Amino acid sequence: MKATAEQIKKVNFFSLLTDQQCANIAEMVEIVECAADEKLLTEGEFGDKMVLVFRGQVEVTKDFTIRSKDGFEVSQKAIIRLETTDPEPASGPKTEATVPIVRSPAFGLGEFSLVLDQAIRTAHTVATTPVQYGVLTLKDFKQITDKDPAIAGPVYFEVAKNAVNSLAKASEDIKNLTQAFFFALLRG
Amino acid sequence: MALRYSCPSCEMDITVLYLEAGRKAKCKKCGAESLVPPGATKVRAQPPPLARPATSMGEGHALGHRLREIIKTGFVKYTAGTVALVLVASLLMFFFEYDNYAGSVAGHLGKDQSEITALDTFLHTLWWSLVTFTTVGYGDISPASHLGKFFGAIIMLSSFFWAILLSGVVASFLVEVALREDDTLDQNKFKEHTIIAGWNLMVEDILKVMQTEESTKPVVIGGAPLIILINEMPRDEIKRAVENFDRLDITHLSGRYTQEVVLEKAIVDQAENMIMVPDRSGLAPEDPPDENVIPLAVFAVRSLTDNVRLIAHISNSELKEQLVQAGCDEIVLTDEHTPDIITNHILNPGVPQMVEQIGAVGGDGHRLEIVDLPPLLIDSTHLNVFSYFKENFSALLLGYTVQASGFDLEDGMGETGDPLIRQMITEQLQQSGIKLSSEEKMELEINPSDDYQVSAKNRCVVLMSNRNAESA
Repeated sequence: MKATAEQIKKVNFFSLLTDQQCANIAEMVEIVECAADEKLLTEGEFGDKMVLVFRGQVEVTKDFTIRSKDGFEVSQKAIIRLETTDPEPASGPKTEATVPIVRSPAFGLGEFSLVLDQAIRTAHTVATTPVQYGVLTLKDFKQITDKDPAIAGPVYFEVAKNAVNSLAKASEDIKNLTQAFFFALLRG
Repeated sequence: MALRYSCPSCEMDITVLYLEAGRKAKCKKCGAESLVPPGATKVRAQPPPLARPATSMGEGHALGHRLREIIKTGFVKYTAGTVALVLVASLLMFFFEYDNYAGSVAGHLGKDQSEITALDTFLHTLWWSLVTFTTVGYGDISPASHLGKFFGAIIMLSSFFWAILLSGVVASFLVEVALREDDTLDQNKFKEHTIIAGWNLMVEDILKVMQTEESTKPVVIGGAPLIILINEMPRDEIKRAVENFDRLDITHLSGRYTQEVVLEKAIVDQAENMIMVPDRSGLAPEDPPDENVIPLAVFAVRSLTDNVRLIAHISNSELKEQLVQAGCDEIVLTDEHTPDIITNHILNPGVPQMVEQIGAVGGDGHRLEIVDLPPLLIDSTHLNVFSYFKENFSALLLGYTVQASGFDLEDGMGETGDPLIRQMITEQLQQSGIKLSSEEKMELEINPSDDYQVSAKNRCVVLMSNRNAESA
């Protein structure tokens, strides 16, 4: 089943597009379903597919190397949960959330794939409820923008906005980690 | 020390004991239970009702508070337990030894046993219980049956242990009452004061030096340094010892400085300095003071506040490490420099005499002083500062004290960046035993190179003659 223009418009990256432009994208997006616990994206992998979640909840986690009783180990830490509101997930999450849940009508993951054909995944994404999602490949998106170049501007503006926000946060994280590093050197 | 935070349901201020951090507390207004956050604001605990001055409330109220406070103590609990034990013992004897006790009371009263009522017998068993419990043991009556003797033995043994417990509780109750009945110090008056904990001959010398320092300054009404002495010396002896120090505002607080209640009374969290010396008060002249309690006292102070600067005087160098770990800022070791001084009398004659002269506070000749860096010379070089003091005051700049600023990592990170990263940083550092904040500390820079850069954190250690100091 193909996605509809309304479903595409609910994803923030495409919210500035016209109905017709959304319909053009929707034609390229096939809706699939997956069960809870299924992994949608894997950190460290490369990909050229953006995932558009139309219904359900996912958890975003990252790998961290931390010190434990038995030495160093890689631990997966949840960062955030994303949930659709229109429609809401078909059932409650399989596990209780330990991190904040951000709700929006629908959302996109791996948007850097619309920029690079080998974009690195910066986090794991796992379904916590049954999820309905579609995949938009860079190749398909390029095809759409070749036909209608006006689509590219608003979409890349949203992608750039997200990238800038992430960069600002990453810069603060680096500052905090540097601070902690020097602090630990002095106190250790 | 107490913790204050807002109720998550109705936002009313909830104040709980410091020990409650991480446990659940109930809001008095809405009744909602909430976890006391570890980051709740530390506040000074309200003194218990007994310690509040009676003038702040009606006498009736004060009495009510006092009664309630007494009821809450272990003293009342154990007394009630004693009464219960005596009653149970009496009832046991009443049931198992009725005939024996009825016969005995008939004999005592000179009546026939048939005339004896159950009440007479019960009162007699009660009498036996009290005589046994108090270990008086008149022997006028005793259980006769095996069962009676068996219960009698249990009662005797339990009363023996109970009596030990009760005497301990009575003693601690009396100590507590004695402590609470001391004068409560005026919280508005005592701020940035100095506490001298413990008493020995050196305390008078310390006060003498402080008095001499003060006499060089102009008199400011109400501006005398506030000093609280904590020791167990008799009040009149302390009064005699300090009566000549008219430039110091000295208050005596009776008690041991290892006790948290005494430290709280001395308003230690508002104090600027606290000097701890080996305590001779309350000891026989031949008994040495126990220095081992000083690290414990440092721990006790640090559990209440990090703000006070702690200076400990000890003679046992083995305690030095413990004191540092407990959070003592400065440690003065008796006779630490004696071997150096003696050796220097041989190797470098004149050096010890010079050190003695410049190290004396309020001496007539030269003396060491700590002087702020003149604002114009901030970010200048050591050579410039040296020349400034030499040319203007003929004073010799020996070096600097540098206040290394403290830092709190959690404050430093604030709310920036990813909360998960911040949480991981704090968790990982804590697991590695690294404290998340470093306190301010003083470092010395003696005779640095000419091009040493001075900053606003530097204070100058200057050898001045008193003559030059006056002109400065």
